Amino acid sequence: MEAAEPRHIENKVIDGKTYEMYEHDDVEQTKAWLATRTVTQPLYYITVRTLQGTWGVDKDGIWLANLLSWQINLALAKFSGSIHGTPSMAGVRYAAMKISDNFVATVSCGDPSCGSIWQDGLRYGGETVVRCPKCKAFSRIDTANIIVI
Amino acid sequence: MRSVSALTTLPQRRQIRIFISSTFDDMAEERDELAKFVFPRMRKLCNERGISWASVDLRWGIPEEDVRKGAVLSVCLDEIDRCRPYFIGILGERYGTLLKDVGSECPDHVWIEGAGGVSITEAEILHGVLNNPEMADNAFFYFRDPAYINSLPSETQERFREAPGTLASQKLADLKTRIRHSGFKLVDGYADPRAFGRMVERDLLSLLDQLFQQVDTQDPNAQVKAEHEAFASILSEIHIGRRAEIEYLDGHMTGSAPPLLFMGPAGIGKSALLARWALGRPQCNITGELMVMHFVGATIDSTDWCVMVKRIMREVSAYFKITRELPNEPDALRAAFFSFLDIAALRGRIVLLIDGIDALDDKEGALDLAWLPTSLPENIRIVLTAASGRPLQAAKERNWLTIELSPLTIPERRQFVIEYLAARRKKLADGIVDIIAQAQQCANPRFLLSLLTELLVVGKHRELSKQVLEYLSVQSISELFYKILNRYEADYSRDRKYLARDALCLLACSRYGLTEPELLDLLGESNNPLPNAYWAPLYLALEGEVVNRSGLISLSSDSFKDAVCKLWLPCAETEMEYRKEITTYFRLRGTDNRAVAEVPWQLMKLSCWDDLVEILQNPDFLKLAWDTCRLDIQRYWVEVEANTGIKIRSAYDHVLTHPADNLVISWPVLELLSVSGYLHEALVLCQFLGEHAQEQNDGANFIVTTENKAMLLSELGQFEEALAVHLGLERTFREKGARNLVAGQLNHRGCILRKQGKHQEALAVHREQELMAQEDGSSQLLTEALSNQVAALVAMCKYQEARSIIPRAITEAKAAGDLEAVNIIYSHEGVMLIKEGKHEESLPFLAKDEAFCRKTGDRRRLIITLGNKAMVFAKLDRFEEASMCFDEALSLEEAAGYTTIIPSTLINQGLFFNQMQKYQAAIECFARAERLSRELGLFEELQAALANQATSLHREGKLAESLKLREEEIDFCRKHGFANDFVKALFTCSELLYDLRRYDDAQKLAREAYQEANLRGMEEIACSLRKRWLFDIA
Repeated sequence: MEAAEPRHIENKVIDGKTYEMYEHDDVEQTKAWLATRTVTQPLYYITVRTLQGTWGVDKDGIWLANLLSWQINLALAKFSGSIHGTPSMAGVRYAAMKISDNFVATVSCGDPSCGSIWQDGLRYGGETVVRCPKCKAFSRIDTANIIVI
Repeated sequence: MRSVSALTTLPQRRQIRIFISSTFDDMAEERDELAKFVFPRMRKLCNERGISWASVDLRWGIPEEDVRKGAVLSVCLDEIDRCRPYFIGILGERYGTLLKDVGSECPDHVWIEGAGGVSITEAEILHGVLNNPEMADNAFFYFRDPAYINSLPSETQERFREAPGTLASQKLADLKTRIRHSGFKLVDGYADPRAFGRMVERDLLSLLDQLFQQVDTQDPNAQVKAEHEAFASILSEIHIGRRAEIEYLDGHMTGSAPPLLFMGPAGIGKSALLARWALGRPQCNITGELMVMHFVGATIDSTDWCVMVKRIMREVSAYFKITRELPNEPDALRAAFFSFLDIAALRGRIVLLIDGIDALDDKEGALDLAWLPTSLPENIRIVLTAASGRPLQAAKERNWLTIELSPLTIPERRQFVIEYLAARRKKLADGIVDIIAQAQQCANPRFLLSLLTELLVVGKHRELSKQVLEYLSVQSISELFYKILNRYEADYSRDRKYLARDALCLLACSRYGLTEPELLDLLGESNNPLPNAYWAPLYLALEGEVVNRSGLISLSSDSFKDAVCKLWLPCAETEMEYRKEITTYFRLRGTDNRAVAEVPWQLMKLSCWDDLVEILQNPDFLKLAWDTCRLDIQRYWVEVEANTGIKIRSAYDHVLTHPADNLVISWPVLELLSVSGYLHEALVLCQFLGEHAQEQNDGANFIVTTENKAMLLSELGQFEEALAVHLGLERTFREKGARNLVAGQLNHRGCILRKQGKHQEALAVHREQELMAQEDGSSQLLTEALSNQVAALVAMCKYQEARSIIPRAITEAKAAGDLEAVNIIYSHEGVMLIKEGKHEESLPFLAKDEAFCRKTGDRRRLIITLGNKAMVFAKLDRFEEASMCFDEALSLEEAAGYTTIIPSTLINQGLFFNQMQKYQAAIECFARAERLSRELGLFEELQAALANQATSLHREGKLAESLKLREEEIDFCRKHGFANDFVKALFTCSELLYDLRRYDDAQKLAREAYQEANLRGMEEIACSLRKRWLFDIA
């Protein structure tokens, strides 16, 4: 997917942390654009506010600031999806330590007729609802099998 | 019809001043009988009826030689004129001292020139009665039985009768025959002085009943009105010229221009212009117009804006038949007056003439014209006068018309001199008139008037030019007054040292002036009043500088009073001495209306706080004072509490602990404690009075105390108890079938339920009130019922339903003439729009509400509106405007001490800080609001404080603390039926749990909130939850 440029809002330094702040209407394009950005310096964050939550990138990779409320509304999910590949361990650790309420992983759509994959935020040690950007179906992803020792 | 008929036939002044005429030596016992026994009783009786009593006996208390000096005849005749129409003539068997060469002595009484050879007594009788048949009803003659003389020792009998066959005995017989045939009231042959005393007392009592009893039962406002009109009448006599201003006034009455204010220095003629114009206004073709004149300072209490406004309202109410309550509380009175003017204007034209507004007491913004609306209906025509100061500034800020009175022109001065002297049968040579008219000082009418009055007294024909030039050597009115005062001192201290100084200083130090007997008592020695004969010449000379208002003599102008004070009261100690004399005199005299008016006021001026407290604790005094001048009592207590450690509560501790022993003052103390904010103490006393009334089977007082108790409980936040009482009363009234009283109780009950946040119950109660009001056809009760329903529905977020009632509520409010209610109903719309998040749309409603509150002077509601407005501005990121609104709201609140609205202002301020992202400051505001709301039992405010505090803590990242408050809010809303807030609290709490990563709990609450929101049609929240949690999507 081609990443359309998000709108730049401002740059801010808060408590020694530097933020490049953007806005974008489309979350998938945002994630694609963030994937093109590389951050090496600690305490440097690029954030994009979208209608489906705030996404960002830092030296550890892409993250989602907060899960969306409906992502814990399990009643929505008709399918069971799964994690595709290995998520960034830094994100999982933060989630396990409750510093963040999610970690970002690549997930696949539970609808067998779709099978799309995309990146999304997931709860640590529980089930999370994700919605396929392509077929719009809700799937539940269980992360109980991911344990930080 | 026009109501100024009283201007042509002025109601009687409440004063009796009676002249005693008799021969000198043989009537000493009769005069003593009157002075020592009859007149003191009459004075007391008159006092009780609010009438001023004075007797003038120029021969009592002085040696005969003083009478024989002969200088008193002109004084006698002048005094008879002043006493008209009251006269007592006593004759025995003496004719009295014969007059010789009387023509030159009494230039003002031309008739006397042809009366040579008559005695002084006959001259008095002729001048007082026989030449004036209109005295018939109020003149009394008493002839002593000649046999009385036989009972006297033989050596004294000769002094009691004229020798038979002499000219004097023939003249006496002739005089008696004429009196017998005159038809005047006559007691022919009283036995002795005691019998004489009884007969005089009987006649005077009958006169008193005939003249004043009927007036007593009439409108109490009538007398005050009469006094103002009488004052205008005095003033109008001395006005001259000002044709341009008079024409301007005529034009002003027909136009629609805003109020008009005449200004100019003291003595320039502002009051006289107003009086002359009012009394000269043609009465034909002015239908449906009411003119009310108020001269500040002309009567007791007239300097108090509350008294003035109430007086105006009473007069207008009576004329246009408008029934309105007159609140005692200043803010409420101001608001009532503003809406009253609007309503009255619909009935007809009202002309308000208020003179000397700069002399109003400086309280509650009176000098800034806070008691007058900024804009007025066309039908309200107002003319004011002021010398200087804040009223002028206020009038200019309101863009009202101000006209400065210019000094008199030379032709005007000339005309004044000629007319004034001609009215007194005097004339000056043209050359002297020119000298006076051209003197620059005489451009001030007050100066000119004082100069002419002085010339009338001291003017000697051959030295007149010299005298005029001497008076004109002074440059200012103060200097002229000093000259006059020094002349008084020199001329009138022959018989009594420092007479002028003491008399004028006593008058200057008195509160409202002194009656003539009071002044004579104070000027006398060793319990004997100063004889009239010594006082009368000075009193006559003081014409123009003192004024007699219904028996109270006071200094006629501030400039004259200033001169007296500067010349004779230069230091505080001297002034204190006079004040102490007045205080001691009235304290010894006992408790009566005059003592109540003077003593505490003097004690306050003397800073004698302990004595003042003692007086205020005195049962007889307090009871009388509370009945006659309760505002004064409140004012004294404010001063006592501010200057000493003594509190009202402790001062009346004996009443609180032993109410049964202090029943006489229990009611005044109860009211005093209530209005002064000692609610707990008031409640205790109220409880006792209720029980006492019950024991006495005093149903009326029992109901009053019960209702008072409920209101006190409600004020104290004890809503349940208050409700129980109202419910009890409601039952009683239902049983008695007193429907209007039932509706009143329903109103109280509904309002308390709303304060408790029990909106659904409140709604039901107000609906019942509505039905009752409908059946009774009472627009006022119906308006209250509908308006309260709207308020309840708004609180319940049932906006559609609230909006459906509003048009009817407004129609009823307009029908009841209750413009305040109209505005309150409109203000609900503003609140609804805020609650709906339509901030921009709410602003016009808030602005309208704000304008109305400013206009009506309703500070309580103004604070709330400003708080709402500030919050809206903050929401719209208009921080500067928001900040200004808050500053004003808080400063008003601090000044007024409105405890119960502080929480709502704090909440608004917190919201403002939130908007500014100053979360810590916001949390502090909400926490204070929470504490206060808990203390005062304000449920709605408590809910808002909890909710907003929780939100701010959440934003600050203090999630655990926020959750605690949010959970309390949910319980609170569930318990007290705050349905909509309950849904909001569930929603926000689910968010909070979500942030705490207690997802399951969050989801559970979110689902409950979603169901409740759907149930209550709270679409916005349901929609938000649907989007957020994608409920019902799957």
